[in-house]
Amino acid sequence: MLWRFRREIIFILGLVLSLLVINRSYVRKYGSAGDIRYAEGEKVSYEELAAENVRLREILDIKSENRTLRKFTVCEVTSIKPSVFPAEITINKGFREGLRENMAVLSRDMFLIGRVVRAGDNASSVMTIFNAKSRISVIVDSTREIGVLEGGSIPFLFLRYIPVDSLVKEGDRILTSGYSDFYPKGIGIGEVAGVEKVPDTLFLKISIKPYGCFSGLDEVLAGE
Amino acid sequence: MSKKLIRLGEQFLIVSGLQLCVLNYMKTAIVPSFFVVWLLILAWEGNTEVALVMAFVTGIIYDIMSRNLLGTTSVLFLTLVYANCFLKPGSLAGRFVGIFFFSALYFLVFLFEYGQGFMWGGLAILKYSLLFALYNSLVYGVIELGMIKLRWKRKDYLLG
Repeated sequence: MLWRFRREIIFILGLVLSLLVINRSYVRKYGSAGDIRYAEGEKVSYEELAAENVRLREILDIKSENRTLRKFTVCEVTSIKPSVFPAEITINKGFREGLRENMAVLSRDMFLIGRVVRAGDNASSVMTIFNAKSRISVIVDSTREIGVLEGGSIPFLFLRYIPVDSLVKEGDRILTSGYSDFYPKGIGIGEVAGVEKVPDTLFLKISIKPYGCFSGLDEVLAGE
Repeated sequence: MSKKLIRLGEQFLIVSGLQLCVLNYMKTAIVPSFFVVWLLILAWEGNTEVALVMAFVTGIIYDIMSRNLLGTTSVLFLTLVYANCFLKPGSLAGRFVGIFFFSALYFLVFLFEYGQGFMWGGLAILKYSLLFALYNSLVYGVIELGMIKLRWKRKDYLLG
């Protein structure tokens, strides 16, 4: 009798197991299990540690030169979704380490990645600039015009509300304007990849090439 | 150990290796999913129990490879394989359509977050889901070509 439903049994068993795994990894990331990555016996090679050391030193160098963020925390990226042009990443620091919602998240090269949308105890979710819900107040460095950078389109993002008579051109840098509550002023995001005049509209259609696609992110800086 | 099991193990290693390579070295927005194609072929060939078990295993492996929340891809793969236990396209064209359709569907569901909606914008999702489906269909095409060639070789050998 049971043999007849073997397919269904395996399917339900698989689903239950998957949900248990999801729950476990979710709790490990956000919940009470804590940040015990190394304590759980995960093998970390000498080369990995050496590479991490170099990256952290670079960040320390940036820290001494950095004037963009008043204070920031170095965080490790634990998950990326999707793997290229991610819309959401998870970092291993949370509420306990001083992270709060809407803090800006930057790459090691001090380019904008996104902002914290949910801070758990030991981990946080970050909405990146590629997310369909991302809207950032930006400024064109050369013309000082303010626009809104919209997420959701890849690989290029779209800059809205730049007037049709603007002198913006390819290669112009795009920075955060500092007028939003989330992002400090002057953080680099990308550069203008194309400017197009759309007939019968007041604004230009400007595509922005972000400085990175964030596929190889290891450490990020979260701060304000 | 049975021949079937060894063959399955070999296929699994090859598919995992290829998937790892494309995830690490193909620096494009979209990479083909060898796992999806392999699981669909397994399900269509009647190895449904094996396909379901492999759906769970490959889902976990894929999540580790792509730094995703562990278990999420397993749920998707399991549902995909289970749905395909009842659909067994006989013709080659039917299988191509199946690969294309289910790849696009998988991509759409993958980028959907409960309570938040789609992670990318509508146009980007449409464009890249079609591209993803096309990549997977191409992978399936290459596999089918290989199989046809293999069958011809065997036929020639048997005919002397």
